Amino acid sequence: MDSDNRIPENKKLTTFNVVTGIILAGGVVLTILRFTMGLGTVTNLDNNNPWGIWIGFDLLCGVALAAGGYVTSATCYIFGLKRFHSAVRPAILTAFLGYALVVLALHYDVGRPWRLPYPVFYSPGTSSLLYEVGLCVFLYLTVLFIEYSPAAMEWLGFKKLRNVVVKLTLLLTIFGVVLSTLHQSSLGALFLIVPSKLHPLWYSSYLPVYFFISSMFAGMSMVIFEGSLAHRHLKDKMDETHLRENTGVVLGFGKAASFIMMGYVGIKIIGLSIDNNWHYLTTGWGLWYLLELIGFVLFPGILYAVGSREKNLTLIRVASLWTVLGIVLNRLNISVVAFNWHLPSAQRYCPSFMEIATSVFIVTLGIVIYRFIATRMPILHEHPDYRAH
Amino acid sequence: MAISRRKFLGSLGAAIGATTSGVLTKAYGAANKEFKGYPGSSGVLHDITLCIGCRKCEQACNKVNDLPQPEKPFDDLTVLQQKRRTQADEYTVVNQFGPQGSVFVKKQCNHCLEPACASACFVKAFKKTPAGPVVYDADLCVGCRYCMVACSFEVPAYEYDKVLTPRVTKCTMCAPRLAEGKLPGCVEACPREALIFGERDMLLKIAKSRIQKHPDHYVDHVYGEHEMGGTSWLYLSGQPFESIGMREDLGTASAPELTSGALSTVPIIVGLWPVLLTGVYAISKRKDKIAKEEQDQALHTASVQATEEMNQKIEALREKMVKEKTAAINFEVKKALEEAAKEKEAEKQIEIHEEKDSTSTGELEDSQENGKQEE
Amino acid sequence: MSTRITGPIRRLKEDILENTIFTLQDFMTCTKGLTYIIMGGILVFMPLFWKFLTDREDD
Repeated sequence: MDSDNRIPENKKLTTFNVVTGIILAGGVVLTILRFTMGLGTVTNLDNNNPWGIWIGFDLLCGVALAAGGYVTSATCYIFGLKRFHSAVRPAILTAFLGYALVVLALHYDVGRPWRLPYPVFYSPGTSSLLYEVGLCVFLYLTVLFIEYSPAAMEWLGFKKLRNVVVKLTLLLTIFGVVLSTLHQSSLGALFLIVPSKLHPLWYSSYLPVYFFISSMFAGMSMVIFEGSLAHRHLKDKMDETHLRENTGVVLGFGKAASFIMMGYVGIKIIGLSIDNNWHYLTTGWGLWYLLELIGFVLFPGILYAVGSREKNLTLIRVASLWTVLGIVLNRLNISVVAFNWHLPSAQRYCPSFMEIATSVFIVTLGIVIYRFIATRMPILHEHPDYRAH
Repeated sequence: MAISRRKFLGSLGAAIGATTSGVLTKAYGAANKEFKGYPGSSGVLHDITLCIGCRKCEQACNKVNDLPQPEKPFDDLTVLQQKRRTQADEYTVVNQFGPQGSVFVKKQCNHCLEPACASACFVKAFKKTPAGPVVYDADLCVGCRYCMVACSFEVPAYEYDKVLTPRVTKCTMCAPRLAEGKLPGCVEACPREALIFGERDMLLKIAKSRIQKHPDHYVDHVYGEHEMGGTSWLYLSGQPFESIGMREDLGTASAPELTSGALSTVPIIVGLWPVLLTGVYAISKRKDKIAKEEQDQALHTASVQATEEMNQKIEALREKMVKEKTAAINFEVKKALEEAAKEKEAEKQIEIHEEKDSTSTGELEDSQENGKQEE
Repeated sequence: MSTRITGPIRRLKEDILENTIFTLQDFMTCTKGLTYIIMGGILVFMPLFWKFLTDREDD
């Protein structure tokens, strides 16, 4: 695989290109189906299950896993850990693409996508937590675009504008953290309104806190995981600084993620205790809950700990993938699996093939755009004209 | 647009009024406020014990709302055997319960006093009207379906098959008919007075007096009085509500009460995060600065020391050279003097020069010893 | 609803209905609307104030 990407650009028929080409073509077909036949044809959604994986995976997981942007930029610029500097740009790019794709996915899910600006500009429903999410995602997407733009401007050669934007770095980072805190937590708070539909093990008045805290280690894990992918496939685009600092980034984020995950396990147990939900643990739902908490938070947390103690990068990378899967599991549990748990199984939701395929299409689109940008713009390396150190 | 803006500013004014009257003293917005809903607003009392399951209400609802004709006609009562929920083209349904299938329950929007759909809607497409109905404005709706997620009664439905103009649909309590002074379609059509329309406060009194008069006939609970903060539709039943498909575990907290805590945390984060984060930044920057200063200081001291050491070395070297030179000279002088002395001795002129010679060689020997000590 | 009020009393009633908040839902919508505007103000003001606070420092 390593050699695949070193092949000169005129050889187009690589495995990567063929597979993504097929998925993208399928995506175009699905898009046409969605906007000519309607949601009823493409999805398994119904009146009892109005939200499927386009919300549960594309929105909830997409936003959580794009948290690497605010985590990394805050680490570098606010906490002043300059050795994370080379990880900032890839993380910002991932976050920007992540949020852009979340918004794209919403266009598929909502009934009248051209009205998506309504909540912000036309009829703000300020009592809704979804309004809060929408406003923050809109603002944060703008912030991420500006944060990302210096890379594009270096590539295009807009020196003056680039230098102006770079001066805003700290301000944008602080805005980014504020906005991320708000909408990451508000995504959890979306479900505060339905204690009657969400299983008590997942419903908690701490939902916003859980979502925010878990977004931190979700973001760090994504930075590590994505870094290992980039290392394998885009190594020739990395400069010496990036390669030298990478080990430190992996060890640093591995250690931080491990500690935050232990804290998260702690507050999850506090949630059980405060609502007296212990007795649910012995039910089938309880086992599923324990699988999520022990198998996909505690376990990768320990893997991280061992990995960072022994300076074992492979172990940390395994832990990062595991954690990412755990985040996906958690978000899907809340939005799909444990949601409407009271309904008989015949009325429960199971995604259709076309829903899954559309989600795969959107993720693939993200990877393709990332690759396009990272192979052209100064993301994994510094532009020779603008060296910081 | 003009109207809504005027209204928004008006409500802003009201909000400022409300804030000045002490809301800000509580961390959780509105926690110390109690809202009792619109005075004199209307509702419907559904006495389940009187319902015979004739589906006349469904038919009337279909007619007044211009809904498409269903596959099976409304006089086909076999439909009742299946549990149904409201659909995009069925704003109300009647379900059959009980051992002999003798209990019939009508289901439609309950028109909450504090509607979850309105609380959840991010474009204000849902609105609790002063008259009682919760109404929906399709011209604002984005189609996110959060209202359907939020509704604990599982009422709003969605036109999944419409491609460009899907709407959320639900019972409107016939708000347009009410405005004309007419009764809701279903109430008008009910042949058994199982549905009574009126002011909610009045209906509550009627319901409670019926329970009081016939305690054996009714369950001692008016469903909808407090459920989810209270609903405009109220229910009387002879069976436990849980057994006739009406959840009793919904609680009495209304949707805005469930979300007000999270909503009030948002502004506090905006208020405090920038302070905290800038503080952290300033501290880390200050630390960097101090570290740099200390480094500079250390460098400076080191360079000063280095210069001094160098000077000392040079000095020592110079002294050594001087001494060596002196020693050499002394040695030569001594040698010359000794030779001279020998010569003089040999020439036997001892008595004249002896004293002078001995003092000068003594001085030279002294300085030589001093030089050795220093080294 | 059953008794129709007309004339100045009706206008007064409409006035009260117009200017009073009867539901927690409306209250949240209004106060949050104002609060969002204040939040925006804070986000603009704080960085500017920080700049004012620190712009005489020599670095």
